[in-house]
Amino acid sequence: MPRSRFDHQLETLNTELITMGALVETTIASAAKALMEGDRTQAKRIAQNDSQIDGMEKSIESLCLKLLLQQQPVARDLRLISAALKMITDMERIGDQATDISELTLLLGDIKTPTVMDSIGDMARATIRMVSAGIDAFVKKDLDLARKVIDMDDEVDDLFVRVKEELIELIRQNGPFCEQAIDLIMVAKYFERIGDHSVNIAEWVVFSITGEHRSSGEETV
Amino acid sequence: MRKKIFASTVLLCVLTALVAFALALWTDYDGQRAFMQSEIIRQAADIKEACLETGNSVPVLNALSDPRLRITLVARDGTVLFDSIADEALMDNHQDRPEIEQAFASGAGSRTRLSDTLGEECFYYAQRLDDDTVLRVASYTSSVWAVTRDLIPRYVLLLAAVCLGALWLASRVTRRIVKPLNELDLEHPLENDAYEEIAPLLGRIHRQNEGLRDRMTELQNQREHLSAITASMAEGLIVLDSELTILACNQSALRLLGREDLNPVEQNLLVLCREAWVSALARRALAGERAEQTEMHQGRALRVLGSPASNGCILLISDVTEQQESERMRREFTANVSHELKTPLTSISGYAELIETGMARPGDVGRFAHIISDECSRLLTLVDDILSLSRLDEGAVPAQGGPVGLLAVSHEAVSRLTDAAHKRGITLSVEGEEQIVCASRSMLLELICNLCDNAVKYNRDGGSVTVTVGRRGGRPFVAVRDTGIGIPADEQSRIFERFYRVDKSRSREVGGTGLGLAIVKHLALALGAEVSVDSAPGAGSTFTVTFSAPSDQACQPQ
Repeated sequence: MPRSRFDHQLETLNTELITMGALVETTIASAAKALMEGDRTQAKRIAQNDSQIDGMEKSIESLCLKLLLQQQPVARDLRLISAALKMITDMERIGDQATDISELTLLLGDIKTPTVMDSIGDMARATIRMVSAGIDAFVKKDLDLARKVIDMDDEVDDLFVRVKEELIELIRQNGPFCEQAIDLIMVAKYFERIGDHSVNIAEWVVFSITGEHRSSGEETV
Repeated sequence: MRKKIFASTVLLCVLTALVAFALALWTDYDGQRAFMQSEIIRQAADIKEACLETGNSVPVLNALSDPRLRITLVARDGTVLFDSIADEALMDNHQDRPEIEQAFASGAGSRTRLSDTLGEECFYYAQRLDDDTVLRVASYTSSVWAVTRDLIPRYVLLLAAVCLGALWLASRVTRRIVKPLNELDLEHPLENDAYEEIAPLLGRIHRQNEGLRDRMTELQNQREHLSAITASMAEGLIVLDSELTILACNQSALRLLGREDLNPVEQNLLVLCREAWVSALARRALAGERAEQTEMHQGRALRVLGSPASNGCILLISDVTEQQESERMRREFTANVSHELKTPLTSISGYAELIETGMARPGDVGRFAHIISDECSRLLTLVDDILSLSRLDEGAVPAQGGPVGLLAVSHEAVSRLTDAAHKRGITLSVEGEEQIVCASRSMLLELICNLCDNAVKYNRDGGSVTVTVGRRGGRPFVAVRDTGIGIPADEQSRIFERFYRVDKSRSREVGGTGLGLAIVKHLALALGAEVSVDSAPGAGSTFTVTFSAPSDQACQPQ
């Protein structure tokens, strides 16, 4: 009986993680939408999502610790739980950054330059794709998809460089956009960081499946 | 069963053998005794013979010294005259011995009894001699037993052999009895050639098998029907248990949710779809409420209907994107129609009121009447257009027709517009070779007329309209080229929508209804043709209607 209870708890952990992932996904998507459309009401709503994400992080964390203490899992289960502990941190950070983006959206006002916004839109789409694919990889336990997410980060990094160059050009022209350019570079940086967190999530997905983590070199559990 | 048969057989064999041996032993013992008795009687006769020959008994008896026999001679008064084993002097009177009494009385007597002298059981045979003495010959009965006893080891050996044999035989017999039972083919019970005692059982198994098979086939059929239904339905169907675990899910559901690469059975609903509203809806259905919600998911409008089921719930997902789109278009159409009908009516009623109240100067009445009549004819055109569109929408117009010459129809269409074109100095021309298509002539004429009408209306003064008839890639086509204002590229996809106008003010001015191209699109659809537009702002437009290649089948004339 205790085993089946353990299985049940693991299943709960799995669904909780997916729920949190879904919430993060929606949050970042609506933050990007609010930014692109200048929708201030939607931007204000994102802060609520963030506190919900924080709550979920806490509850999943305590579930993980409870499982570790009470069931003393080994092998695959241990990997899932430790990966979960790391993944929720990354997801929570993504939530924070989505909130930061929406705060900047409120500051930015209406005047925006189309070319830079196009590039930032590309970045937003690419990072949302990464977050979705990272969570998808966890849901499907799909190793190939997780590795694809890790590769996708290069695309986001390239886009960040592009946005940066465009903003530098804008500042050099000394137009009315200088002030906005500073905010926009921060928005772009947040997207770039979200991409990095997605890579982290994907790496922990790889770890939970294979027991190998990129940063740990040859060490395995 | 095997054990029981084996044990019973062995027990039976051993018991039979034991009884048989006991009987044999007993018979043997009996035979031995009878033989001994007859032997003693024979010997007694021999001794009597010998005594008769010599006359004196004692020396004869002395000469006979068989240790197995006890020979006693008893006088008439009971005194023992001779005894071969005991000392005759010490022996008591033997007159009261029953065999001796009998011998004195009837000449011979026999008895088996315990010997008083020897203290052992003996068989006595007494015979009266001629000298009135009794000769008694006796033998120990134990000697008979001894003979029989010698046989016992042999019997025991034999018994052991028989037992061993019985064991072997029993195991063989058991195996032979059980073998047909073990080899029963329960799949085909009636084909077995086993004991008739189990035939009723086999018959029953057969009937039950049949019943089971029927039930299985029925279930299988039901299952196949059900899965065929769920697989072929366009709506997605998901069956969930009380923990939101997916119990069943059809391919459409996976397709609609964009997860065709997944096998979600036995997984949580979240694995299939992470949208929070779907989970919330499923929870509401679990709580026993029939819930429905339409939301956008991956660019499609999905309507999810959750209904409670026993121990879970059922989600039915349908794609309502097109439905919503057509609803939107219908709403727009209604709004547009009302607006378009209202515009001429407003001016009609305005001018009519001016005349009615006498506010119009007499000189203006004629002009106002002219405006009213203009607006009325515009209304009529509009209503005509709407009617023909709704006829086309209903599909009531027969698409089949006879062979029609495109060039001839084009000439007719152009001739109808000569007046209108002439007023604005627009040149109309038709060129190309005659092409025969299979179509309804009236619909074709309406189509080309509409295109030419547009070409004239949206032309610049003094421009030109060229209708070209020809064949491209084996397919007949009509192209109407004008030198008008042209259409921007990003609006070209929308011009076939009802009431869509590129340049709204100008369109009204030239008296268009905004339905011309919508009618053209529908007519082309009904005729099986394609309409394409090639245009640039200021450079004029070319509308091309391409018909499908004429089939070999002769077109029936109208």
